[in-house]
Amino acid sequence: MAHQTDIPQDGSTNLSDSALNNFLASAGQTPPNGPTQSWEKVLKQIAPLLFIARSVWANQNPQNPYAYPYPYLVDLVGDTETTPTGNVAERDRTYLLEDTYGHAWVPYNPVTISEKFVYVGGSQSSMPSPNNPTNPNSDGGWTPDASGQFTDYYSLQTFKPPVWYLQFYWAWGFKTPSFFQIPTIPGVNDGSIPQIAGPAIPLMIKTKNPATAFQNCGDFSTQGLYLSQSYVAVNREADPASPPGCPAQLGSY
Amino acid sequence: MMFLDTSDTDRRRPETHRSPATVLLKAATLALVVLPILVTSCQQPPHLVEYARYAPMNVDTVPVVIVGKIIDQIDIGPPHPARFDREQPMQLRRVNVRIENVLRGDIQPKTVSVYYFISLRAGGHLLMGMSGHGGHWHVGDHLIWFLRWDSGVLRTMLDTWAQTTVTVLSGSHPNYRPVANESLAHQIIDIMLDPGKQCDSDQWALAILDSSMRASSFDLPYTVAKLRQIAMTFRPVASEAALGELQAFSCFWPQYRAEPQGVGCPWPQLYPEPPAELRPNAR
Repeated sequence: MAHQTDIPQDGSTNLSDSALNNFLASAGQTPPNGPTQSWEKVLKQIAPLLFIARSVWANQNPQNPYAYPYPYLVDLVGDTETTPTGNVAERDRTYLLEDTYGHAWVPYNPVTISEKFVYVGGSQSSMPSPNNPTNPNSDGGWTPDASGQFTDYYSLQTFKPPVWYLQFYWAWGFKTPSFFQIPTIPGVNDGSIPQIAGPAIPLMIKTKNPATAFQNCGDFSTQGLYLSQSYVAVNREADPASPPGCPAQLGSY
Repeated sequence: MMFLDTSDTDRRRPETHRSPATVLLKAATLALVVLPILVTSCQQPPHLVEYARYAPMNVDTVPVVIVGKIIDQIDIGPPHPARFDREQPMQLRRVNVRIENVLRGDIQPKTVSVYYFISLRAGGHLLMGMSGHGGHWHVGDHLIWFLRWDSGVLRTMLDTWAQTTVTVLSGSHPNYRPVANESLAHQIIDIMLDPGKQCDSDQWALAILDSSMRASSFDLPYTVAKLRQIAMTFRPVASEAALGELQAFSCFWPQYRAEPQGVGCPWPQLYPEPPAELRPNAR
């Protein structure tokens, strides 16, 4: 099974990239602990429930155990950075949405992936608008393509001072069985964003982190972004002329 | 016109230096030099306002659909606060496009200006615009444009987001003529996946690999049929690309598995076959 060896199934795995915080601190930025901790808390509450719900359904419906997949993580499968001469840098990261089995998300169960940002430091005016329903001029998030992938484009767009921030992903809008019930995510589907009704799942981000095992890749509840004119860095990277990505996983491409 | 009325100036000058032919020639030269400058500088930006909120684009209701090549792009005026969010600066831009095909709408095949707004703080999805300015376009790129008329000019159906266009990697299609009553979706897929002028096999393969997924969003069965057609041409590279896409499609849409051509999903662990009752039916 894809990823089964390194998916934390019980919320006990280290979800916090402490090295990210150290890096931000070394850059003179004070990472806010509150949002990260509350996100991790709800993620650790919800993760085991997804596996329980999956087992309940599979036991009751052995003929179609995959009828209700639950979004679980986004796996970095593509990562490129371009810095056109005389223009600002852009980084394009493609993620594969996977369920609790490590299967790619299937097109017959629609889902939306949205994001939330937490400002860390630098120029407030350079903060991008998050791709979620609070932005009236966006479609509220990403709909993965038929292969289960979506691409996130990071750029300052114009010449502006740099900014540090944290990024969180969550999934919503998917079909669930009638018995399915999980806690709400504070600031998301607790009434904070009225457009989001029904369950929402905070997603882990499987990405590069030199400080962890699993061939330098790990699952994290958030990732740190640094947008500047000359480059876009994720987590603790310096200028990533060749952005590092996670090694291809068994069963993925 | 005012710049041709030189009578006051002329009276102060000795007439011996100017024959009627010279005056006419100078006036004509002046007109040739100044007229375009005046026309350009006096051209008022159209009175456009950005859309108040995102509205999903229904291709069937788009009034103007063209295929066109990008000539250039300029900013129109300074950024201004968005109507939907005063914190988001919006920039109006004009991109000049040479029309290659008209798929829908009453419009002459010539060079036209297309206007669009872009949020300078938008991120996430692919943006409209030239590479280095938030988008991925380059001069000379071929695109399918979904447009509407507004205040006498053409503007994109969406602000900011690149999904209001489709990148065409298969070159220009000057001889393309749709069959009678062919749907817009079929025309779009034809343009995306049929090799255009001077499109060699490698470029065609690239177009197939890059565009098939987007093409399927317009009409999946027609896209599959087109890929099968290309696969059967046995043209090197291109037919292999089409076969590869068919294999991938069979992972994403199980109704296309175990087709007569023996196409199967190469990643069954990642894309397991759903139970029969959950399998979507082929249209």
